[in-house]
Amino acid sequence: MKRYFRLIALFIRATVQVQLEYRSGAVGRMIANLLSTATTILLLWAMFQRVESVGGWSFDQVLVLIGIVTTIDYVVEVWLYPSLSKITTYVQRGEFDVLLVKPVPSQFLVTFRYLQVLDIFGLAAGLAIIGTGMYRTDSIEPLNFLLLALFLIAALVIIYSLYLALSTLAFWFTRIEEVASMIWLHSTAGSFPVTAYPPWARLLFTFVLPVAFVTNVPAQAATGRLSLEWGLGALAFAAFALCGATLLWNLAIRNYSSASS
Amino acid sequence: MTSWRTIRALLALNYGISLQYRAQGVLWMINGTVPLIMMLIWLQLAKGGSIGGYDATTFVQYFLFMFLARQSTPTWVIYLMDRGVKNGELTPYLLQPLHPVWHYASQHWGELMARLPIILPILAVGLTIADAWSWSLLAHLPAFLLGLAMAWVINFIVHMTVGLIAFWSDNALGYDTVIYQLYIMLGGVVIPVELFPETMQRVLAWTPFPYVLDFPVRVMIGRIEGVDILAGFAIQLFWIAAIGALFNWGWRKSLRQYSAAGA
Repeated sequence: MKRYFRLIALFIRATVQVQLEYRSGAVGRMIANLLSTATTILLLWAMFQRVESVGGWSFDQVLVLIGIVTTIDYVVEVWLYPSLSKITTYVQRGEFDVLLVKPVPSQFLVTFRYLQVLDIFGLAAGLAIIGTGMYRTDSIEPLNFLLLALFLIAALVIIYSLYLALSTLAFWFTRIEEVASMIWLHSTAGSFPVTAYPPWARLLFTFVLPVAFVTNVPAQAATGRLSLEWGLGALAFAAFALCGATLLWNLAIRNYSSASS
Repeated sequence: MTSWRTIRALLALNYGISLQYRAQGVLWMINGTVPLIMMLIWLQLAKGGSIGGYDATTFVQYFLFMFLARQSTPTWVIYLMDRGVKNGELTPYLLQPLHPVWHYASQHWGELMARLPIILPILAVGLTIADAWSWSLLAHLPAFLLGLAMAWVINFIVHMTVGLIAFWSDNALGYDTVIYQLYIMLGGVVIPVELFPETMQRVLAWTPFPYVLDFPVRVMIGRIEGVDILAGFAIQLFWIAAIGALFNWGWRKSLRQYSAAGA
C-alpha cells in the first residue's frame, strides 16, 4: 500500500514539473473557468426570474448543485481527463506494451499517471459555490459536510468507472478520442435536479448516465435533504460501477495483442 | 482566385475522412445534445402555462431548430490551428496557392455533410412526436438557411481569429472552451434569448452571440418577421465584415512571426 502512495506522489511530482514548463496557460485557464462559472450562475439567475422552482428545487438548492458540478468538473479536468484520455494514445501507438511489463497493475498506472493538481482555482470556486448555497439554505452543519464528502467520493468513483469503461473501448475501436464528450454531458444534464425532467428521462439520468447519483445526491446531502434510499442507491451504484469497469479493463488487456504484432 | 474545383475536391476528401471515423463523430454529436436536454427542462416548466410568450410548442420548435443550428455550426478550427502551428502541419498548406482557411473550412463542411443524415431525422421525429410541425413554417426556410449560413461564417471567423493565439502562445486551446461556453450560454442554447431579463438582452444585442444561433432559429419558428429579419441580416453582415477584417490583419501579423517547426 505504502508503495502505491509513494508512486502517486512521484507521479504528481513528475506531472507538475511538466506543467510548470507551460506556465503561460494558467492565467488563461483561470479566466476561462471564472468566466464559465460566472455565466452559469448568471444563467441560473435569469432562469429563476421566469420560474419559481425547477423540479421542486429553489434557486439556492440548485446553486449547491452547480457547485457540485463545478467541483466534479475540476477533478475530471485535472485528474481523469489527463490520465484516462491517454489510453487511446497508448493503444494507437503501441505504447501500451511498455505499461504492461511494469511491476504495478496497469489499471493503477493509467489511473494515476497524470495528476495535474496545479490549478487549485477550479476546486476553490466549486467549494465556494457549495458553501454559499449551503449558507443561504441554512444547512451549515457538521453532519451535512460529512455526508457531502462521502457522496462526493461516491460520485467520483462513478465518474471514474464510467470514464475508464468508455476509454477501455479504445481497445476495440482504436479512434475514440472524443469519449470525453460523454463525460462532459454529465455537467450539462447534472446541472439540474433529475425531478426537472420528464419521467422517462429521469430513468435515463439515474441508471444510464447516472447524474442523479453523481450530482443530485451530493447536493441533497449538503442541504440535509437526502433520503435513505437515494443514499444507499448511490453507494451501491458506485460499488457496482467500479467492479464492472475493473472487470472490463481486465478483459480488455487479456485480449490485447500489441499494436505491431 | 480559389477555384470551385479545388474546393470540391477538398470537400470530397474531407467527407470521406469524416465517414471513416464515424464512431468518433457520433460521440461528438452527443456533445451537441444540450439543446435537447434544455428542451426537456423547459417543457416540464411550461406545464404550468406559457413562460414569457413561449408555450410548449414554441419551446419544442425553438430547441429542435436550435439543435439543428448548433449541430451545423460546431467549430474545431482552433484545435486544427494549434496543432498546425505546433507540429508544423501548417507549413505545407502555406506553400499551396490556396489560403489555408479553405482547408480548415472544408474539413468542417465534410463533417457537416456526414452529420446531416443523422441530424435531420432526429429533428423530424422530434417535431412529429411533439406535434409541433406545421407546414406554414416552411415559408421561413429560405431566410433561415441564409441566416444559418451567415451564422456559420461568423462563428467560423470568430474561432479563426481566436485561433491566431496559437501563433503567440501555446495555450490557444484554453480559449476554445471560453468561446464554446459563451456561445452555449449566451447564444440561446440554454435559455431562449427572448427569455433573458431585459437588461441582459440589451447588452447581448451588442455582441455577436445572439446572431449565431438564436437569430436564425427565431426566424425559422416565426418569432422574427418582416423588416426585423432584414435588420438581423444586416447586423450579421456587419459582424462578418468587422471580424473578417480583424482576422485578416491578425493573420498577416501572425504569419510574419511564424517560424515553421523544424526550420
